[in-house]
Amino acid sequence: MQPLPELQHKLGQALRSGVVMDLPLRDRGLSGVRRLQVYRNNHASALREALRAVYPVTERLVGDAFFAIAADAYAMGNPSHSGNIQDYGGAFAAFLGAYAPAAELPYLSDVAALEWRRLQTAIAVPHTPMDLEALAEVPEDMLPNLHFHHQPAARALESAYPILSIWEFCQDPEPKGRLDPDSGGERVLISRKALDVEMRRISVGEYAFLKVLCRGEDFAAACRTALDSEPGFAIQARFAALVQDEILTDFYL
Amino acid sequence: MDTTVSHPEPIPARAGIGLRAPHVRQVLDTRPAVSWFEVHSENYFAPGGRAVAELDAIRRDYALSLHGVGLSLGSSDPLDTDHVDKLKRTIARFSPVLVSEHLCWTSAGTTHFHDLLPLPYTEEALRHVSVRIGEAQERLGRRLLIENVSSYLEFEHSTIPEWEFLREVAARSGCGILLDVNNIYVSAENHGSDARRYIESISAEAVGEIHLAGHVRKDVEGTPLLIDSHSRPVTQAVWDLYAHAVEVLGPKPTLIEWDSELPGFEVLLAEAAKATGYLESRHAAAA
Repeated sequence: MQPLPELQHKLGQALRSGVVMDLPLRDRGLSGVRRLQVYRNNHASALREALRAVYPVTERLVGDAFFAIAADAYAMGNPSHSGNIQDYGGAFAAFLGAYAPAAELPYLSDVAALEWRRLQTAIAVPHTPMDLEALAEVPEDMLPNLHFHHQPAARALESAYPILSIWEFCQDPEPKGRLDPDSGGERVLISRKALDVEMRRISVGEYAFLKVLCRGEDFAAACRTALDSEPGFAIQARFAALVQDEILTDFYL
Repeated sequence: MDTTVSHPEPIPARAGIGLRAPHVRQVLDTRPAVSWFEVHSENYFAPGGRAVAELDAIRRDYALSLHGVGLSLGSSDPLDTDHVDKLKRTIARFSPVLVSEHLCWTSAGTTHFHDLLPLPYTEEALRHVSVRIGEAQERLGRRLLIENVSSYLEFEHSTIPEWEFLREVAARSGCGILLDVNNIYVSAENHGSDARRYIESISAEAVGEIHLAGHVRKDVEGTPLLIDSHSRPVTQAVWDLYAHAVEVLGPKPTLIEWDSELPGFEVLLAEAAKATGYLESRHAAAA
């Protein structure tokens, strides 16, 4: 009798590869191998549908047939490692970046990365907004030395393609006009406000400003880097907006 | 082990509905008269966001059951304590009246299949899964209901009838039974076993919940195979078997499950009303 660990290991391999070796499957009307095929289809379909749920814009860009093939190719090299299917699919963007059949759509990988990030932001732990009174009490000459915490769900993405414009374009069931994917890159800030996910384009300067602050460096260092990359960067206005939008949620010396 | 913790109020022996994301808004807006709802536990593992906030709101007005699909209780690997702990946090957040999982395995090694795979019904598997259910219950600090799954294949070395295996798992681990009448029917048709005898072999006290769902009949190479699709109304044959279950086991909280090709919510309400009819006719018969 095949011990349970060996049976499960072999059956699992058969589900993923389609090759059935030495399994004690009962034939009854249908062969055991044909019966196993039902499970193999269920497994493949569960992974495909999970990606479809996370990457609807990516699917629109390539069409459902192409998406299904790409999803199956991804599944071959990326088994699920969690009992919660919501954890599946985080490396799909990287996969698409190296997936030869998608080479004609060089923006696809970055759009997929935006979709994954959007979902992670949507389900992240809630944050507490900045204590504005405490911030107002900080003497002005100490501001350059302040460090900031950001809301855990917030992320800034940078792409050589207009990923947010593409994402917005695809929200319309019948998009009008045409979008040129080579019309220039975008930097996108993804964050949560209560239960809503907000996505907005940010400038080169704001992107640099946030990157430095989120690395844990102080306000002065963030200002220097932001002004280096964008000489006209409006520090005061942008900083106030980042606090107001609950991107920056706490400060420390 | 304390298995008496946090049962806010028992779920009545009435029909509930499996709540899926597309219907949540409608339920919050219209507050339909439904006795209780059941959701998939893993869909609410996230620490924040709209789905968990909406379930908080639903929980304030309705009794809730958490039904897991990913714990892989029958797997021969060590129990995934991270998964158990996430379930425990989810239980703490939503105070469900019932918590259930499946009598199956869904992973091997580090790979998860996201499908409910059958166990061989052997003494080895029985020992193993009973211990594992006990471990999970201990870590969760509460009793689980364990559901029989639909199956499309059997193992040559299975020696124990499934009903006996299920009954024995409950006796050894102290878990309750979630009896899925549609799954009993599907497996009995697929393997040529006796569905009524299955139900008659289960002890009424162990059963905490019943599931009902629709299946489809496929023709595979000239052989009919029933697939537990959760995509159709409950078939008459399954209603008949359910009537028998209510007769034998007494009225139990009964859930209508529908997962793919999801219809309008009113269709689920009608299915639940039909189940209520069967439950009440048993009451009438007993009176």
